[in-house]
Amino acid sequence: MMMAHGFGCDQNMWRYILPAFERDYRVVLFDYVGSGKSDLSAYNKERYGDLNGYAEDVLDVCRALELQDAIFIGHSVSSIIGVLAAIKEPSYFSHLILVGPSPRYINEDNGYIGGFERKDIEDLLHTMESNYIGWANFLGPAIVKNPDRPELAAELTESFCSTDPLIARRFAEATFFSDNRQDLRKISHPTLIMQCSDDLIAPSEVGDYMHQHIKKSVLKVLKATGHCPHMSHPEETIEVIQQYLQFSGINA
Amino acid sequence: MRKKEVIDSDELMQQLPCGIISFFDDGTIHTVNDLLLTQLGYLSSDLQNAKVERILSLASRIFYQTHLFPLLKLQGRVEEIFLTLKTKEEKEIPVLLFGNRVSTNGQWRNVCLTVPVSQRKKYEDEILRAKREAERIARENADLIMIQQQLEINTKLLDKQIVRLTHINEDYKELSKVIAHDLQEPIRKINIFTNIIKDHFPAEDKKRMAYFKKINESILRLSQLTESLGLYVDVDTSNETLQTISLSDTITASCAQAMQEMNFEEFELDIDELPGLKCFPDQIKQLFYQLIKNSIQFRYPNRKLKIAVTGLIARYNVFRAHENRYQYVDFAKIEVKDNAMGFSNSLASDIFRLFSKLEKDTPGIGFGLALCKKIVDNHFGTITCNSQPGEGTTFTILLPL
Repeated sequence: MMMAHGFGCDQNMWRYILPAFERDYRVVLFDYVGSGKSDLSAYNKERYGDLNGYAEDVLDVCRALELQDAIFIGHSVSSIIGVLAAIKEPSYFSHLILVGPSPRYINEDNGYIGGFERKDIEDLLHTMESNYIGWANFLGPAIVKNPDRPELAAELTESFCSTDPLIARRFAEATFFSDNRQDLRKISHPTLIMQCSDDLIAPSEVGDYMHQHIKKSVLKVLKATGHCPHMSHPEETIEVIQQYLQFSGINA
Repeated sequence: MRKKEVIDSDELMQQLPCGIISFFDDGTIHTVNDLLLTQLGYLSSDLQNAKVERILSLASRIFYQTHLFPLLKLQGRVEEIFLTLKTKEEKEIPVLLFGNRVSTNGQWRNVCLTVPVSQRKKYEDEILRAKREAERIARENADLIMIQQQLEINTKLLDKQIVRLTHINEDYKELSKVIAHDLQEPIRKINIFTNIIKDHFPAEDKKRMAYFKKINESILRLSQLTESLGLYVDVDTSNETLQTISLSDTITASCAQAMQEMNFEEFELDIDELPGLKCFPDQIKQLFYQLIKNSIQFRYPNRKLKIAVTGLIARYNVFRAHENRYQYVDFAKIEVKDNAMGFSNSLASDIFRLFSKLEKDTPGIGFGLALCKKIVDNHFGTITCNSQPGEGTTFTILLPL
């Protein structure tokens, strides 16, 4: 079972979900390059300016661990990253579980409702830029290796959602400006779409759209509100995932 | 000296010169102090049971979902978060927010204070703008210098490679001639004279006849090899032009050719809906002909041969020689899957080598798949295979569109 974090934070987001599965499954957690405690020297702005670059991260992890038929759980943008990875290498995955997915965030003239206008996304980029969460982490390795200032190391471990402004901006652009609607029909895996009630980032129209366009999909609307049910409503999230796995005949 | 007063905490909350808001994990607002209500233009009753997102701008709502709430939950507190509040009149107020998580009787609440920073924000925006501009110029400058250096190196490299390729191409043309004429001629002569010797000087000696048979077999093999070599080299020297074709039609034609030449019709070919492709049509036809021929050659005698061709479009990195360059473009991903004999995957990289055969006694001379690889290479694509003995083989071809 592989859990992929969304835009914003890192693999710590899964900490309320993990205990429910780690006894029965081999659970793989990872940080995308540019997020969490990943090796920033591996960051490449061309590769990570495209969700396909992030999908390569998923496939690299699968390849390195020789995964076969893994259950992929992706939150937010990682849903689409998982979709892209599963299209390229179907045999690595058996099921996809998508938490708050959206193939296209921006509304289209032809009646598609993504929930946002381009201007909203530009405002978001501006908000991102005005927040300096854990920015000290990104001043360079010199400061991290500075033994005279141990408080810097402490700060590092605390900042789960650190953002290097340039990396975060590029991730946000790759996420919110992408259009992956054409990819949905290429998915042949059984897929669970977990749609939150009252989710601003992925409104219910988007969940319906996903469900219509992924052949073997099941749509489950959660009581959980917001965009991070695995953090705000972990019990319900766990229960829905377990029910789906049981329904799919998967015995851990 | 003033007398120390005991101040009620609610009263203190109303007296503080900052906005105070607390909300539950599901976003439902618990309390808002009067100052914040006034700033936002709401009455206390307006926000009863409302979500905290009600008072945020759209961008800040996203930020709340992707960063602020996860941080509060994981870290227990946040500091210096910049957000934009939205008033009842849809006006925006930039604020700094500090927050703590507190638990009362097992119920967690997020208690935050907000400080408007309109003036500071204007100044900060100016600084940010200047910083962005400076960074952009610095970046562009650095990029330009790097590009210039790379261009210099690449131009030299390209020049050498063009010279080298020109030579190789000339060599190939020469080689093609040698194979087609010069090599064929002695083979033909050996064949003729061997037959003359055999026919005109009949021998009773059985041993001698057996040797002649061996010589004939070797001649046949030599002529097959040179013919194949000729085809292999010709793929590079032909003057075919790029054309857009229907893959399904091409594969159907390849199949007809394979059926005719192999004199074999008892199989199922299932072709999925496939994308159009800009390519060298004859080469692509040859590619699928060789793959189908391969399946026919290695079929199970007692199992009906099935070949399925499926395809889709996915985005892959177009750069293959440059390690740190990425540009994701559309590729046709075509899979040709059969239920023939298959082989161990450990041999998968060997099968595309020219004249390599997995087993000595199998039909063919180990040429078809080498030709396939060459054709795919000519289209800047890749071909890989995944096989299981007894189950069948899947060839995966990626071709840039």
